[in-house]
Amino acid sequence: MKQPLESQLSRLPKHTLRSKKRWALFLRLLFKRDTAAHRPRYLFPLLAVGTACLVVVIGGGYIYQSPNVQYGQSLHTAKVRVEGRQLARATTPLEKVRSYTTIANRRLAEVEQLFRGSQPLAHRMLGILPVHAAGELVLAATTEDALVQTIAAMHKATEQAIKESEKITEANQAQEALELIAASQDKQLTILRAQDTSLFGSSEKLVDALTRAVYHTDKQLTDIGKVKETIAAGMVSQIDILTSDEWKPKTSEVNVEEKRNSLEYLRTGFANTSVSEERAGEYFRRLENKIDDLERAIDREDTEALDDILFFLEAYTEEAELFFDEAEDEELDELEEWFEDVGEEVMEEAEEILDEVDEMFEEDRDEAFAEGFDALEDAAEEALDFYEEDEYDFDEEDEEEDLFDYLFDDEDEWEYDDDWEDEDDEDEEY
Amino acid sequence: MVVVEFWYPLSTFGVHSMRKKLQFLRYYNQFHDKIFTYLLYRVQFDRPLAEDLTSEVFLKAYDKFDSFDKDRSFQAWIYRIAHNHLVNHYKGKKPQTALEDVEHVLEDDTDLPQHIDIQIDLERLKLLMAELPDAMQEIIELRYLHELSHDEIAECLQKNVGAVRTMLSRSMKKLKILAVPV
Repeated sequence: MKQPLESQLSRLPKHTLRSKKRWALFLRLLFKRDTAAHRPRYLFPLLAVGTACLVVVIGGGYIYQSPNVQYGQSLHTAKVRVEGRQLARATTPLEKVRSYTTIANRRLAEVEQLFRGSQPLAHRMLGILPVHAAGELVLAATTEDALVQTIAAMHKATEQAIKESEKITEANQAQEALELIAASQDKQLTILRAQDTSLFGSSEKLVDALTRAVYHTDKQLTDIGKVKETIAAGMVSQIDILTSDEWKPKTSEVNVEEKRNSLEYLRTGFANTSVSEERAGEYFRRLENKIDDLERAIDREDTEALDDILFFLEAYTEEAELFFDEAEDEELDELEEWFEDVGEEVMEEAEEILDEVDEMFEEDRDEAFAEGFDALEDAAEEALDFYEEDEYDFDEEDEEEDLFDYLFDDEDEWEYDDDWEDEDDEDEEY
Repeated sequence: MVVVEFWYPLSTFGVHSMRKKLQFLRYYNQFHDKIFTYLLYRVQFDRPLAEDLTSEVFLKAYDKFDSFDKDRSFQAWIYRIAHNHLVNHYKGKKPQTALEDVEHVLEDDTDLPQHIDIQIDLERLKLLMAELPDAMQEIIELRYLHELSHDEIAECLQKNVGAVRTMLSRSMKKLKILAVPV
């Protein structure tokens, strides 16, 4: 029986890590590279969901908000994708007008940023525009130049907004839509003119010409269908790598169209759910079901089903991305609590399945897979190099610059600190 | 490219590493607050320092996780890393009281009643604890605040169980003496 003093000692206050610190350390552990000698042999998408959503947390806020992420950069694709999903969630014409004008304004912010960064090539190209008008613009719009492309994307979004506004039948809504479009266009013209009056002396004409040019080019990704196609193509190429050589004869043909439709279906369903812990819960519940499916598919060595599951796991990753995009601190806390209950079971199941996957792939498929994994590893290295280029330092002593502050602050830049190594390695061996 | 970024964690970890990572993250979820509390008490409630040390302890533990014997107590193992990390942290910075230095503190204190019944409030208890040497504070906290078994404390402090029992008993005696109103 405890004496009062012992009992009092056990009641000394226990403290908790702040939520942001906890997540930051979680991320660091998640991304910490293995120092062990085990070389990765397999790549399997089972756990991509959990990890990928955290990848997205790292990049999401920054990518989406910052005008520093510009055309031609790899993150710009992600930015445009997020916009695409927002468009997909807009159900009424007015909502679509709002989305398109937001996109146009965001492109405009990028244009401003590009002007600040001085783009001599773009200036040269645009300099001849008033003279040669539309013909040259068509040519310009088909180049990869960031400024030209961004301006074209801006105008395309404006065009789409106009088209959507024409579908509105209710007077108040139509007025709001037109005001939004007019405000966006005013801003566009003001900024284009302000840059260089000699270049943009006849801005309205330029706008018309650019708009026509846009019709002649198919390179923009602001269209949601194009985005989906890009994502689907990316996934298909990943699946192709995984299904090479010996694996291939057993694998079904990947039906891109079908998968694209499924993705659309998931998105529509998801668009009707509000961002909440409930949504995250639902997302993980569906993941659990997929894990069950996966287990059964492994039992049957059913590669077709495995392909499908792989696809769905990717789609769930998209959902997770949406959740983290919009989640508040409290929601992250709720998610964490929920994860302690349900997530634990999911992780246990995942581990068991990994054992089975290990056994299943152990035999003579190593070689066939190795090639694919090498390619993916290279790609991952590239992604990592990209992260390392920026300047955020995990070792920063200033508390206020901790990871999450960075993540949700679009002005900052960051760096994945890959080189974290404890220098005091002279202490005991365990 | 975006798809590639999604795949980054898996493509660099592989199945073995991912399993290890999962297992470690589960332990992390279970112990981060405990280790943080332990370190916070040890660094005189300097929260930013305790947070940094917590990060360092878990990152170090992750590196050494392959050497962790799964049949033994993770709790003892992680506390041991935290303890050693603290020792390293303070090396040359602050005089530390080693367990050996305080083992004989109470050898002559034999006049304390066997079952002393002391009721004190938490605030006073904290002050009294602060008067104890570091090593005594630590062993008391490990036993009563963190609820480690004697075996686990022995592993954490790298002592034998007998020494831990003796030290704990002396530490408690010392605390009780401090707590008895003069």
